[in-house]
Amino acid sequence: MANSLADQELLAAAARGDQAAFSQLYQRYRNRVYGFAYRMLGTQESAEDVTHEAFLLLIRQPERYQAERGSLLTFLCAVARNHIYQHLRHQERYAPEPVETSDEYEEAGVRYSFDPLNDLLERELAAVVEAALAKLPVAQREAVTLREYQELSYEEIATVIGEDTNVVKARLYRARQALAKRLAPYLNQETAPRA
Amino acid sequence: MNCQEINSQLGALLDRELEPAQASMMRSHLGQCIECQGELERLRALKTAMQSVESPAVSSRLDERVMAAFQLQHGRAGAISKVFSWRIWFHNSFAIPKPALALIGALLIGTATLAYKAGEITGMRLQVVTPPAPVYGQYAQPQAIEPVRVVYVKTSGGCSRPNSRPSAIHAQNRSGKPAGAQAAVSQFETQTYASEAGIDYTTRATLENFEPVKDAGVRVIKGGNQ
Repeated sequence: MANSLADQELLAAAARGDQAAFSQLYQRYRNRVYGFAYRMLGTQESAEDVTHEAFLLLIRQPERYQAERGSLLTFLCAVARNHIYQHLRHQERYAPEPVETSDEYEEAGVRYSFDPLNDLLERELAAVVEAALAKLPVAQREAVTLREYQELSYEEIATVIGEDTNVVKARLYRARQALAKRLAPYLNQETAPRA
Repeated sequence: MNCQEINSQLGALLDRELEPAQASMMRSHLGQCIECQGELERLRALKTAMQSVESPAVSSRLDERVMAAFQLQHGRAGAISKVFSWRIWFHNSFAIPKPALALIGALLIGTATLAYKAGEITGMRLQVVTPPAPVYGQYAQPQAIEPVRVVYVKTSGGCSRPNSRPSAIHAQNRSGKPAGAQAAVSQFETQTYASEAGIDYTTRATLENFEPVKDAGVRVIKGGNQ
């Protein structure tokens, strides 16, 4: 709450032209807004454009933020989300998901050789997780990104996406199930019982 | 609660999004169910793996764009990039108070008026000479000479010549038209004025034939209290 009050005070000062106040707000939230945009869009240029647009609204129309409706981060993420979806529509990312080779093998009941240890040596875990995230449906990727990286509560996520918290729970559950399935070899490696 | 219901709520339990009573009920189930414990550990490992992804770094270019937008909104040109500098200059050029602008304008107009009047009062001779005729090159086509109007105005006062009177003489070079009633001026006066004006007077006294030929230029003489 104290943070929220500080946000309002800084925003009021920024609206009066206080550059230091605005800079403080920007430094406080730029990484989280940019991270959200980057993980949703996957390119630096698009993420920068979205982040820029989000803060531009804060600069031009600070009165659009209403503290009683949520935190400033929630507001910024909601603004960013609108621009993210515009970019996604522009990029035509709503096309059907490409069929994954691994799932195809699994559905055919084929056991494929996979050595998690060797694969970990070849690729970093982060890259694998990022790839798995990128394959999630947009709504699930959005929910899990806002939760895991932007650290929003379920209620805040619901505010950002304009849905009920039960919808948030359901999307998070499906997203985690899909991620756990794709990352199973790595998760098993980490959680495998020691001999 | 069965295992399927428990599993669907494990994520919320890890996220601390459950009511205390519901969380307590789930913990008691997890204490007895190995399969659900394994699922919980799998979710924990997933969250840990996701945290291994580093946050993308924000570039300084984005910082500059956002701060430039702020400065542009609030009219500060100090640190704004050169791309926007002309817009800032244009915006700020209207920041001068209107009374100050009006005062500056009035001073400029007053100064110009005084300078103009001073020239007339003292009989200052202002001479405007058109550029000399172009030198025709080997392949250049001769250009048609446009009719040039020559105006000689004699103002009143200070003239010691007999029979002098305020008059205005208008002559239109190569026009072929009579110069009007004011052309009825004696040849003597016309020659005199032409001489004073530095114009070679070569033709008859009628002003319709008044033809300045010196330097092939046109001289406009204003004033002349001599």
